[in-house]
Amino acid sequence: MAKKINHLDEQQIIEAVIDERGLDAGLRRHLFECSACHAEMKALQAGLDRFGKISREGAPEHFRKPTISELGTGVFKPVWKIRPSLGIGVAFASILALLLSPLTLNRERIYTLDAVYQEMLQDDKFMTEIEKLEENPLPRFYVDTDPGDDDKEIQNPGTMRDNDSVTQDGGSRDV
Amino acid sequence: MFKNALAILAAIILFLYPAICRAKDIPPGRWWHVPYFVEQLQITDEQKDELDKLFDYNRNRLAELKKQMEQERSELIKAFDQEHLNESTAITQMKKLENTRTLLAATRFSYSLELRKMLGHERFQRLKTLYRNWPGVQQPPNHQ
Repeated sequence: MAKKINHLDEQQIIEAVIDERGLDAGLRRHLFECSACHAEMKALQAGLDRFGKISREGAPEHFRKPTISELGTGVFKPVWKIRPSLGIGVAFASILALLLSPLTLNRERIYTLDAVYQEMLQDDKFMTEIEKLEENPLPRFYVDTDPGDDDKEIQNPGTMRDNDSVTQDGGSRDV
Repeated sequence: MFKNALAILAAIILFLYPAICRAKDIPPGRWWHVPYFVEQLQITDEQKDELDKLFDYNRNRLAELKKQMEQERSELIKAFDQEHLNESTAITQMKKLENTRTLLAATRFSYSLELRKMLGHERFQRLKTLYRNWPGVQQPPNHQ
């Protein structure tokens, strides 16, 4: 003769709602088979859910349980997955910063002393050319005559007679 | 307008010509990278950067003007040496050459001027003294 199991009492229904595993196997089987006990359990569960919802909505601000946003739940997501454009920007800025850092741009490495000396010599030569060009941009022939030319003309044999030495002011010179 | 500006510039240059003549008192090249000058004049990294920019700009401009002057000079000589002389062309060419020469002098002077402004009176005078006493680029670096 099969043992008849009575319906679950109120305490057992509560236990079933909180944690069904706390009931023994026979009671659990009854809860599964008995629609009345099952409906009673569901009704209690629904009532608790409704009560929870009301309490969450109606509770004053300082009584509410603080909620943590999804981003801050501790699940790490790389920045390039959350915002790809930001990730690209950060990567580009990092590369640029590295390239322009004092470690990369070593001034003394670019301007070695030998290179500076070489440039100084070249610049000195260049500036001498500039000065010459600035003083007189034309060949001398186009600007004036060489003072020596006058002497050459005076001493030109074709225009001179013996003993007629002529000074630049036109006077005769006794030799 | 442009002619007037050039005339004023030429007058300024003539007035300041002695200062331009003293340009040789300033060391050539990037002397601000030579420890001898840097240590004595306490040139900072920022000043080195500024001097580099000034030097690059000035020398590039001088090179451009030099090239321009050489072209204008050859054109003038060509006009002058033609069998049938065109006097007005030769005079115009001469004026162009003179204007470029004025610009060249002004550019050369502006370098000294900027240097003087950047260094201040005391350091500029000290630079000239240091340059006079400098053993020169022929000396090995460790002798500086």
